[in-house]
Amino acid sequence: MDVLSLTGVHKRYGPTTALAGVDIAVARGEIVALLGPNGAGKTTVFELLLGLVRPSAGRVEVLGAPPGSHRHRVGAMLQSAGLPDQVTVAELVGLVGRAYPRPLPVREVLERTALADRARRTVTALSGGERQRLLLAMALVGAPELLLLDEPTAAMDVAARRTFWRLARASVADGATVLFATHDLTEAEAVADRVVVVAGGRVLADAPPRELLADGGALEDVFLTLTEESPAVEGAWR
Amino acid sequence: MSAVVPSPAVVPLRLLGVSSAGQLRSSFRSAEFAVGAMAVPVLLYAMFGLPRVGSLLPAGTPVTLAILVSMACYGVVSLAIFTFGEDVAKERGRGWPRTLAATPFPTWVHLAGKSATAVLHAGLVVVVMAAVAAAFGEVRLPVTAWLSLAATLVGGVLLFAPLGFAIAFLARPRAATVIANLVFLPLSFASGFFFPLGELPDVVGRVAQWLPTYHFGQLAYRTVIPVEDVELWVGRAAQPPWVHLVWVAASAVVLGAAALTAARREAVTRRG
Repeated sequence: MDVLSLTGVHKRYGPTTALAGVDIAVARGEIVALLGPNGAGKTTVFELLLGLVRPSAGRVEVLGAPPGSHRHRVGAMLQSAGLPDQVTVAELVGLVGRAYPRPLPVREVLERTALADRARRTVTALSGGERQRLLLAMALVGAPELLLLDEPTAAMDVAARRTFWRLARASVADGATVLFATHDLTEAEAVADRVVVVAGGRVLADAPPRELLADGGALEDVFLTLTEESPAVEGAWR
Repeated sequence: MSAVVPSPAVVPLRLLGVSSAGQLRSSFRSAEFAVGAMAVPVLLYAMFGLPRVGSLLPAGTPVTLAILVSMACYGVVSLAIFTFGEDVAKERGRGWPRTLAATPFPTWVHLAGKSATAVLHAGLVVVVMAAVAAAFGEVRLPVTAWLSLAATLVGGVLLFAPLGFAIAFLARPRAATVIANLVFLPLSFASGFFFPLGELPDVVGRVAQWLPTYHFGQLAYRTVIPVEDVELWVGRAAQPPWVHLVWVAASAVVLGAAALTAARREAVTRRG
């Protein structure tokens, strides 16, 4: 059974088309990378899956129900997510955890995300990478079945990325499913079971990395070929 | 053994407690808040009220009591406008509501927690000001009068919360602080919180009768000051308390509707 699915989804913001007939399905236990240039519609996919925006047409399901119905089973990390400033790391993770039926202990989550020594720091005192790890901690604290991560490693250095993906894999080993967006093709190739390439609001490819690389080229070449060849949707963000 | 799962009704209440406690803690980490919202009304009272110790209005009301009520009204309305207006607008600007909306934490619980926190802050302001007035301003009131004054003032935070929310949702986040000040300072001045209306030009008093803050002040004065002294202090003939109550409640309803409309419009725009 699919943990999430978008079927024939269109999303328009006034004259601008963000998604023009997208079909994506993710099965339980998969790690799926969503690749695409800026403005491809990746963030819109996450906003639809979280119920933050509604599709103009098509159907979106998360855990067998409309988005937002099972928010207590989903952990999310939004791109450039905002945080309150005078709250400590431990307080914030604890606050979000309380909203889940069976949260993990805050201490455990902070240790997993390498934030234990920052527990009593306020959000304003964190570096960019630490903020990202805090957002991950907030996504993990509810021990969710589904992790939706929009460019989760954007502000992280190499070491932090490795830690991040070790954690994500551990969550998958515990039974979670992960859909993440990234611009880092190496990361997608190394981490994902499957890669979905979107551009101009359309899905251009949906396959395991090894299939995309069947002709022996690099994923970067495949990605550039796909996105350069894709026809522009009228009014789409490119 | 089966796990104990809280009932659906208990969960929001538990979250409300956690949210309120968290917001209370974080508010005291902000120096601007501690000084601006908590200390300024007390300092203003010390500056303008305490030098008038010994002065009495004709029916025997200490002037220090009239000024206490004025400054406490100023403090409470300030809390409502800045807690609900400036803070919520800043949170909108930072994107915290969007982050929260992606979690199971209900946004309404967050806002209710903010309201509960504002009530606690207002209670603290009122208690500290009352203590200063009793200790240094020779203000003596029966316990019941203190309690009814405190209840009126603390209730004011909730009655003016819609004004704050209206600023938060109608103004652009970056402009909210300026707009809050532009709204708050003239309202406080024209409602007689800084200077008794009886000492200001008559036009100010005529304008004041259209302001909800003026009517809130009248309600507060009337809980502890005889009507003849209120008339002298305000420089206008007294109206029945229900008139003031209707003004304050009606403005809360109108501003609440404006805030709700703006919040819904934002949600619809976001949802497309």
